[in-house]
Amino acid sequence: MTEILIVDDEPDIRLLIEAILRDEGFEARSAGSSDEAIAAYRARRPGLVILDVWLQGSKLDGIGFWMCCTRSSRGCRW
Amino acid sequence: MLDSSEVQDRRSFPAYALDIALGRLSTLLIASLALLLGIATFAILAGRIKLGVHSGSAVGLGIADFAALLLLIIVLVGRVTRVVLEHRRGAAGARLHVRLVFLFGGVAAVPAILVAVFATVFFNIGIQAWFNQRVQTALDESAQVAQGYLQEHKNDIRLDALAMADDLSQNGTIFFGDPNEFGSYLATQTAVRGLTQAVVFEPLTGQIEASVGTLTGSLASVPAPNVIAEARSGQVVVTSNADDTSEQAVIQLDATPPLMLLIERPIDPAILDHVQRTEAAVAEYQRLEHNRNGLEVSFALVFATVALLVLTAAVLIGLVIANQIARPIGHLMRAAERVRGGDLAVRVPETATGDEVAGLSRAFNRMTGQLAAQRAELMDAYGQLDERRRFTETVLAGVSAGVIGLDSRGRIELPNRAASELLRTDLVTKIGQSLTEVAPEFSSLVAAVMAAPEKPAIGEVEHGPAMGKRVLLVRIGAELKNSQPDGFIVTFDDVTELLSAQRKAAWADVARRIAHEIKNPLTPIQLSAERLKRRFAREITTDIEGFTQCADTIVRHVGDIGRMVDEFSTFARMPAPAMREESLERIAREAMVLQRVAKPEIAWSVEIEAPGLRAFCDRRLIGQALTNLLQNAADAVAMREGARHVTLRLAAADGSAVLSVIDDGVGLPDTDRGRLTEPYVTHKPKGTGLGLAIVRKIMEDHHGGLELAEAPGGPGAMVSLILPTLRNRPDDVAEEETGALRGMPAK
Repeated sequence: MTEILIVDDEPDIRLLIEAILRDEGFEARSAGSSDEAIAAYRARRPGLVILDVWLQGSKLDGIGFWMCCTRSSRGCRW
Repeated sequence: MLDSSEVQDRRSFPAYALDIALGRLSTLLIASLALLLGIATFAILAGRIKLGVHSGSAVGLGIADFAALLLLIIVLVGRVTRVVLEHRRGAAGARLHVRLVFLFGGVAAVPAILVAVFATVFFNIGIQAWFNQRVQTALDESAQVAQGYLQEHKNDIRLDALAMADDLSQNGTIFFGDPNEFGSYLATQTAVRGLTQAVVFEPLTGQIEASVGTLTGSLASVPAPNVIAEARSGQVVVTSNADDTSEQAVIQLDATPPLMLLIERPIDPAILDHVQRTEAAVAEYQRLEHNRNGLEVSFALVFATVALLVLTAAVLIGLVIANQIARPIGHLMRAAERVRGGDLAVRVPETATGDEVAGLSRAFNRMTGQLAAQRAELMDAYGQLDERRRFTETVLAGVSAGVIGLDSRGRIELPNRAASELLRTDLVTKIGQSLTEVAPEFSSLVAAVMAAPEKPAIGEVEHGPAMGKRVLLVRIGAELKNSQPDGFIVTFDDVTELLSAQRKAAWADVARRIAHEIKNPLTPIQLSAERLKRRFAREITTDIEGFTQCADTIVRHVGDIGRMVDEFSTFARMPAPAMREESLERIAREAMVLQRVAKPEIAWSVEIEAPGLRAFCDRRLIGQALTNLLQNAADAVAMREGARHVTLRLAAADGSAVLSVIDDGVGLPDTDRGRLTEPYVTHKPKGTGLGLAIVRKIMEDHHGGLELAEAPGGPGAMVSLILPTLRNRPDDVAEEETGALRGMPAK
């Protein structure tokens, strides 16, 4: 089963989407910040990432996180 | 520099020759020659007069004297004429020159004339004394004494001759017989009588009978026949020998045959010499007496010539000296005149004499040099100041900020161009007027800085007509002089655009944030509602329909809010209006339709005073602006008890269209009225403060205006939109639509 990673700083939305996706029968994980998201991404690579661009209170925004993940780990300092 | 050679070059040749003739050196040479000549003449002629000799050389000397005198007089006349001409021409220093010439001439001439007069007088007195009666008498007496002496000598020898003849006559007969005896007697007589010679001779034959004192037997010289003839008549004849050194007497002796006696006695040579000298002196005296007038004339001529020579030479030398003194002073005067005329490069020649005049010339040159240097420095400083002033003026004229210089009493002294433009009045014509009269808005700041001059007064001032008021940021600083304000500098700038831009930027930023903050909770609400509907609808057993309807309502309204926020957000990002030619009447009626439907309890009305007005605008934006104004009016009506009228009026004014919303609500607040169009300024209990801000932004984008005023003739407000219009033009479509709308009921 393909796993979906949800990255959003709003806990309401994050948990809600996670619940909806589970309702629909997907495996879902969520992360509230770029650090958490990077850790989750590295721990187990998801099949799909639902990513908020404006990550309030994180070191990286959504695009930064995604560039960090898609390029080689060299490009990502975290 | 006074260039004399240049001056001379312009002259003609005779003038140049005259210059040489009248030159200092030649004049002095001629004068010296004349003086020498005069002295020589005097010496020579005086000697000649004493000697009583006149000769051709004296005449030559006189001619030479006259020639020298003539030359001197010519030079003198030339010099004096030149001085007088200069005086007439009014040349600098000529007056002094003339005075000096007369002074020196006088100093030289007066003693010479005095000496001449006295000398003449004394000479005459001397001559008179010489030729007086006593001298004449003395001389005559001397001559007579001399003659008397000689006469007496002759008488003596005559008496001796008579006595001897007598003696010889008485005793001679005795001795005739004896010649020796006779000779001895004769010798005795001769010795007794002091004679040098005694001869007895026969007059006819010249035979000497006896002689004493002669060495020879014959008479050295027989007396002349006339003497013998005279003696024969019985007289004693006395004669002198040829050189007057002795006297002889001849007498006839009383004897037969007739004999004659000749005796001789020498005259004392000293006495004879005295007599001769006396006679010569008398003769000279008489000759002089005879020539007395001629002598006087000669002396006078010589003296006059010499005196004139000396006098003329003295005057000439005086002239030269006067020239020497007057020339540097003349130079100084001419130079001073040129300095007065502004020529500070002028220099006078510095003589090497080292006297006061030379010192004055040096001091003058130093002074003009220093003056020239100081003037150059002053001109330099003035040039720098002028350059700085022009730079400052250029800067002041070029800056966009208004700058006004005020005097210590707040009157306008120096405005720049930008100040006139910003205050929309020609401040140059208001110079001297008080700034508070010209621009009353400035008065509080002016008063503040006058009260506390050490601190500049800074503030924002609104200036201009109610429509299109400009905000000026004003700073008034005092120019302090001894801690008293000497004047004020007012600088101000139009910050209207700046403030507007700042507010716009702040508003846009806040609008974006609000949109984000509103949209953030909307998403979980919508998601939650949809999840409730999808997940839990199956589990609800009762009134599934009610559950679903509630969820749908939530989802629908959240969607509405989301769309509204989207629009708001889009608007906050200030989209450029899509301008098209639109009918304002149509826009007004469409806006009113929505309000009528939404709030039927209000009495809405539309007044079209100028039908067919068209403007180049964004129909959607102008509609929104009108909607905002109508909603504000509705809120104001709701806030006042008994109010229910809102009127939308379209009128034309001055090339513009005026869309006014007039209500009879609570009206505008008394305070903060000017800031009502700023974002988040509101006086409504639940207002956002964005309505009028949006309206203002729309109007700014349309180059239009927004006016807030009291409603005419009553409570409430009148808010007007002013839009530049196009010319009225028949527009069929618009007419049809407005016609259709006009048909709608007012309520």
